Amino acid sequence: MNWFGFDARSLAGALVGALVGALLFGWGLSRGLDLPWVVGLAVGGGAMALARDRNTMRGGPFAVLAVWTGALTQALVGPFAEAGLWHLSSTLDAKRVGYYVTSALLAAALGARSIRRGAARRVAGT
Amino acid sequence: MSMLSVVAAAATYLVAADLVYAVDHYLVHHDRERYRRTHGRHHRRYNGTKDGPQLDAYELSTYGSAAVYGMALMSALSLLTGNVGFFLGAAGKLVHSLVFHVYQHRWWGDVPLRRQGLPPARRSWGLASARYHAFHHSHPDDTVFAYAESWAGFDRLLEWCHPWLVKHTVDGRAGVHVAERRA
Ligand SMILES: [Zn+2]
Ligand SMILES: [Zn+2]
Repeated sequence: MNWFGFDARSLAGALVGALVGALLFGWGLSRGLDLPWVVGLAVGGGAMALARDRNTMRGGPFAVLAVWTGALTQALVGPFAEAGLWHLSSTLDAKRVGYYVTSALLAAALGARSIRRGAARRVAGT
Repeated sequence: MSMLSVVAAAATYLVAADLVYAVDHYLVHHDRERYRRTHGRHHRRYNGTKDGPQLDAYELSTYGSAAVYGMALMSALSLLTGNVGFFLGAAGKLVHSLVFHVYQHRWWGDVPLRRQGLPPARRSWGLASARYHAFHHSHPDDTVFAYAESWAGFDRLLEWCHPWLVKHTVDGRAGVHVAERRA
């Protein structure tokens, strides 16, 4: 029994998405573009592209991956780097909270799905 | 960040997580197929004589992965809010789930639980005690609910919602009743 609900394929898609998202978000930051939600879009999109099945539970860990990847990226590149990883919250005003929440929601909503038509539902715990 | 806000965040998580656990426990008891495949073995095991470890691989992975799932979610929330209490609460839930289940299963022994004649669980609003949990093992479908792991009040609220809520469970939608469920 495992509540996480992802298999190797959707996880691989999410991880590749996280890498792509981090590169895009970091590239934007270095040019004055602040788009953290790009990470969630890439994480969710990556999982959705590779997954053979649908599963709601895996949306949670993918949302977490998107938030941590965004936080790590902005701690390394751009104007928020000085705050570092552990003080992410000090860089968040209402607008940026919205960006991060959007990132998490995109990762969860897209990552739970599969681009395959008629993909079966994967039941957590089996 | 004040100590108080850390404690408040941890407590908020513990209460919210126990509500989720109690509701899911209720739902698995009202989903014949899922009960048979997963949670039912927990009840079967504790109703025989003791023949294995207090927590078997299935129980460890269920409670463990549920708690680690919560820790993952709360790590992101702690990062976004700057309040480490959410994560500490989730880590506390992992300890609570594993340690207290071991403790609560101490009624499991040579005499099968049903023959120990434990008095029925009381409809309390206090903390869910070990005996309360043990009664649930032997009487999984009793009208006094004992699904909760920490606050028995969640069971009282579930009993109150039950007449309406049960219609929206998997069994309720399929028109399955308790008697047929265990047949
Ligand atoms: Zn138990
Ligand atoms: Zn049960």
